[in-house]
Amino acid sequence: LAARLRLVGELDESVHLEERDISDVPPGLEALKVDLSELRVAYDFDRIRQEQTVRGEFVRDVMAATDLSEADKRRVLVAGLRALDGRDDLEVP
Amino acid sequence: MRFDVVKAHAFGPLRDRELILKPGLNIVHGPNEAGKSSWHGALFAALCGRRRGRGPSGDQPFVTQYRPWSGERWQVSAEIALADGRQIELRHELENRVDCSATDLQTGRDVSGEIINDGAPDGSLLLGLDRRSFHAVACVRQAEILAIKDSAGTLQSHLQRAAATAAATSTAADALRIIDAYRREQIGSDQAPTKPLLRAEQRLQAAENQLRVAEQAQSNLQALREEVERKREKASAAERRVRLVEAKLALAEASALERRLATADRLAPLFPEGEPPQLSDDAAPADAVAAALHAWDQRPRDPSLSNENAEALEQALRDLPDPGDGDVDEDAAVRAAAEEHRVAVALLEGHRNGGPAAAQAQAGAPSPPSRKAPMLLAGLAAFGLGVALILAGLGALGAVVAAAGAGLAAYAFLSAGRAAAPSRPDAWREREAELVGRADAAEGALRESLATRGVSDVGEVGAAYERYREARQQRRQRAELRRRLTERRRLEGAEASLRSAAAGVGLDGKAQLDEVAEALRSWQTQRAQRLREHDAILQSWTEWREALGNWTVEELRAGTLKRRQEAEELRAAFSADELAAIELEEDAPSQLQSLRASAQRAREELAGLEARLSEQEARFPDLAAATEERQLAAEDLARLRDLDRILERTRGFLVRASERAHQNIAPALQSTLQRWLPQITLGRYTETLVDPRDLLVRVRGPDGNWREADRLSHGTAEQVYLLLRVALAEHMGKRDEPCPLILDDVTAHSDPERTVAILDALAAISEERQVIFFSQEAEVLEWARLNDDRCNLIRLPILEPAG
Repeated sequence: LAARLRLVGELDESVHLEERDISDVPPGLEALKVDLSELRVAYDFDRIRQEQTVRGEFVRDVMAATDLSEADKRRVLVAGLRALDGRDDLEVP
Repeated sequence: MRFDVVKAHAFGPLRDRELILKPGLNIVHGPNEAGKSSWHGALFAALCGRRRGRGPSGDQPFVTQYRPWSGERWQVSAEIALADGRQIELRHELENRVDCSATDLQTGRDVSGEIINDGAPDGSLLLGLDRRSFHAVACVRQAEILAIKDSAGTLQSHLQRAAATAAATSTAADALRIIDAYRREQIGSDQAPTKPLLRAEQRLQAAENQLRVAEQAQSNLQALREEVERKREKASAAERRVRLVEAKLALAEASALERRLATADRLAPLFPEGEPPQLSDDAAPADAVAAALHAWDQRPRDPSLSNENAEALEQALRDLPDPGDGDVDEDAAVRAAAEEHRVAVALLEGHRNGGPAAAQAQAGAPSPPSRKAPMLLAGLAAFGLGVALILAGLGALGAVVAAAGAGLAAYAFLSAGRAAAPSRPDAWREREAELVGRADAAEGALRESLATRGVSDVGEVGAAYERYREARQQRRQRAELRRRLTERRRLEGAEASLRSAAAGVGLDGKAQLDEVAEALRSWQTQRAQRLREHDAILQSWTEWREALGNWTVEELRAGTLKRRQEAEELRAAFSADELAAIELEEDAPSQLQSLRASAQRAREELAGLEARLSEQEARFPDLAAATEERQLAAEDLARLRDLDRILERTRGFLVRASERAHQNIAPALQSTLQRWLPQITLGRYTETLVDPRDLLVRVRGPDGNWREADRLSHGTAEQVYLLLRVALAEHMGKRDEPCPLILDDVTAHSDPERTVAILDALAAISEERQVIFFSQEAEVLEWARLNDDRCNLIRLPILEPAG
């Protein structure tokens, strides 16, 4: 009996996740395949806003916007930073 | 920040080696195969490590190039010193990136958490950069310098990315293109038929249409369901009415059976032997008795009949001459004609008996007072009375009276005539002729009258008249005899019938006739009483048999009990009011049959509607699914529009941030570039401009002409863009933490003079930030030897082959 563990999403930077921590084959399984390819580290907006860069400027502008809800701010920030990272998964729930 | 020591435990061809560096300019010189590029990579890896998160890290070339050749654990470390005096040891296990750490060498504290980036410690964060931007800005590799020769745009892209986005992979322009492409492909416009937004609008439109259809179908279905329910109630009501009538009918039948049973029980003792015997058939004797009594009651009552008998009367009849058929009473016309004839003859004879002389003698003598006038009046009156009697039906008497009257009148008239007649012979003769004519006429009339009454051979008319009268008298006598004979025979028949009927019913028929008749009447009375009693018995028998029907009494009792139980069971389903409200028609079975037919029709109609309902339900569009689809479509459209809104805002923020960053950094970059450009280009170019949009560098020399840097010679372009990286390193990182520069053979394409100029500039730059310059050029080694006070020269030997 084998299992495949696939973790998807964003992980806070403060979380120290080691693949080996979750790759031990538990009792009852003959094999375990861990897939972390879709696991990403979440953006640290507070750190990025301190950058003297476009994305730092971007984060500062977005966070200072008064016509956006907090939820929309987060979506704009994630979408913009992903685009700046060359990613095309721009839809942020 | 500066590197103090870099240790390559196992890194590419390097194994357990370390590189000790100093502040300022470090020139690491060595020939080919000395590991310069490996140390360049090791410096980057020791500071920044490798990101742990999988995905498009883009460092596969790095892995391929620097994974240990000998298969040892891929590990590198460095000790760095920060502007604030801290010393940090960074250790990176690069294969699994598990054993990675950052330790404050003075406190021994693990500070990895402060510089975690993409799951691994990243020392470039201490500079305000990250491993990507540090690599783009501070790690200038020979290959990237050489790339200028192939495409200035490539370098420009690297520079713009580094300057504009720091830690990002793409430039702001790239990010905008990504966003635009994403919006174009993943959202589109409401004019692009293949794109999600229009498809979502079409889907919503279709879903709304489908929902309307489903709602209409639902409405229709609901109407049909209500109709089915009405039909079901109607069918149920019809069934209930059937059961109600069945109950009512059962109760009525049970009551009827109970009445029949009571009748049967009441009448059963009357017929212990079964059907009562029939009375003897005395209908014929009874009829004979009735007929005899009737004849007796209607018998002739003429007492004279008692003195005669039928035989004697028959004999007298036979003895009386038979004149044949003809008048019984004298015909009035004959009688009148006979009287006229007699008068005419008498007048004629009287006239002739007087003769002409007598007539002459009598003509002169006074006529005595006549007694003939009253006689004439009396005769005429008698004649009128006779005629009246004839007309009244008393022909015989009338004829006699009329004849007597006529004779008396004729006599009086003739007597008077004779008395008044002229005595002349001519007058006598005239009178005679007149009387002869009258007599002849009267004779003819009488003859004719007799002929009409059947007197064929008239002969002498007077005799004929007398024969007529005699025959008539004979006929009258025969008729009277026949009447009396008939009466006598009726009387004898009644007597005989009475005695015969008495004998027929066993009575004494020889007693006095009145006694016989009384006995017969008594017999009739007794018989009638017997018949009435028998009829009563038969009626009871019929009533009993009708009560039993085809059953015995016990069968009737059991059937009655069973029907009563059935009726009570049927009644139990209804209230007394319901039962009272229903009325059984006179023909209750027909009523029940009609109700059952109605109930059957109602059931059939219901079954038809239910089948139609099932069919429609089977074909019914799923309203819930349509509603859900409409909801999903609306949500999808809203999601796309919301996403478009978010991306539009994102784009706006990016454009604004990009422009502002460019505007901010461009002058700074220009200042840094301009500070070193004259020195590096030996005064050929003295001024720079950096386009804030694409970081395109333009330079201008004393001739005043602006030139785009990537259109200059490759060496000059490399030098310009090397300075741009220095400027970026100066302006992108933290102001209080100088970013070291790690340069690999960046002067490879510079001429000796430019190389010296560059080294001089780097020496000056290294006063503010550590510069680690890998080179294999003799000019560089020479410069380092000549300027050993301005740099730390590290010479690398050729690496021994592994093993």
